[in-house]
Amino acid sequence: MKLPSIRILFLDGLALLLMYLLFFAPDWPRDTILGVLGNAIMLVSVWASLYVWMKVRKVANDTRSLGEQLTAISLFFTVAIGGFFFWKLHLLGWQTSLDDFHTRAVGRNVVIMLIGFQIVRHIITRQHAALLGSGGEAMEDERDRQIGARADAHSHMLLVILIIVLIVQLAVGGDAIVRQATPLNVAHWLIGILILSSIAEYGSAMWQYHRANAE
Amino acid sequence: MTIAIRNHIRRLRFESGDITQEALARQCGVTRQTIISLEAGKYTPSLELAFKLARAFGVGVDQVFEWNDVSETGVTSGGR
Repeated sequence: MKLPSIRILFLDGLALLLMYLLFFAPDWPRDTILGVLGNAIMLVSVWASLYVWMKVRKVANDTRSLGEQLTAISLFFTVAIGGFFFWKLHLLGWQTSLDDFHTRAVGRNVVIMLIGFQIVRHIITRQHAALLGSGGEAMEDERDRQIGARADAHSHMLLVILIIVLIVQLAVGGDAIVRQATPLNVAHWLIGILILSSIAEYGSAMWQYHRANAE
Repeated sequence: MTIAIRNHIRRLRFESGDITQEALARQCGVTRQTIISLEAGKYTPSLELAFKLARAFGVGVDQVFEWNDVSETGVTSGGR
């Protein structure tokens, strides 16, 4: 059995460290993950995940369509972004402003993950196109589009339900809700709803791909 | 009522000179995974793809696909 290279082990360790710092690390040293060091680790981690994918892309391309690979990556990033956002939501507080350090830091990390997500998607798509060459095999076809359309419908349904729940809460929730409903908090709630609907979309697509692949 | 569309893509591939899934995918302009799903009976293609597949094998659509309309009474109609 071929042992994984030192580089892969190093990158795996780095990814685990990032996951720990993002989700489980105590607040000491204060704001490590929210500061420059956290941003640097996050960027390196995005690069590392891309590097690992490059190493296994031949196997991935043999067994999974591009649509399925992108869906898996999208689900991974969306769950990571959602997990980070909801995990650190308490740092945002209820009556905070955009000048607050934590608000800006959490927002910055979410944006970095979003940008990393788009870069990884773009590079994988370009690499896939180069691998297929001009042979004529499609990168995406009607099956991917059908799955995408159904997943989109599921996401839309959840989005509408959550928005209605929010509207009802704001309308009949009483003073307790109204006091918390500052413009910034409503923005946070809406961001959370968007993240949840994105998770629903990619989760639904992954589930459909899984069903289509099951023997 | 259960409607089942079966296909003979795998058999036709071998009968047509061992066409690979990849080659068939290229001919029809789809991904190899779609051909795999079709052969496993996990995906029902559009009419357009059905015609492309039939053309790739040089046969009629009814020779690639078989429609079975199994009603609750168990009576089967349709087919090739």
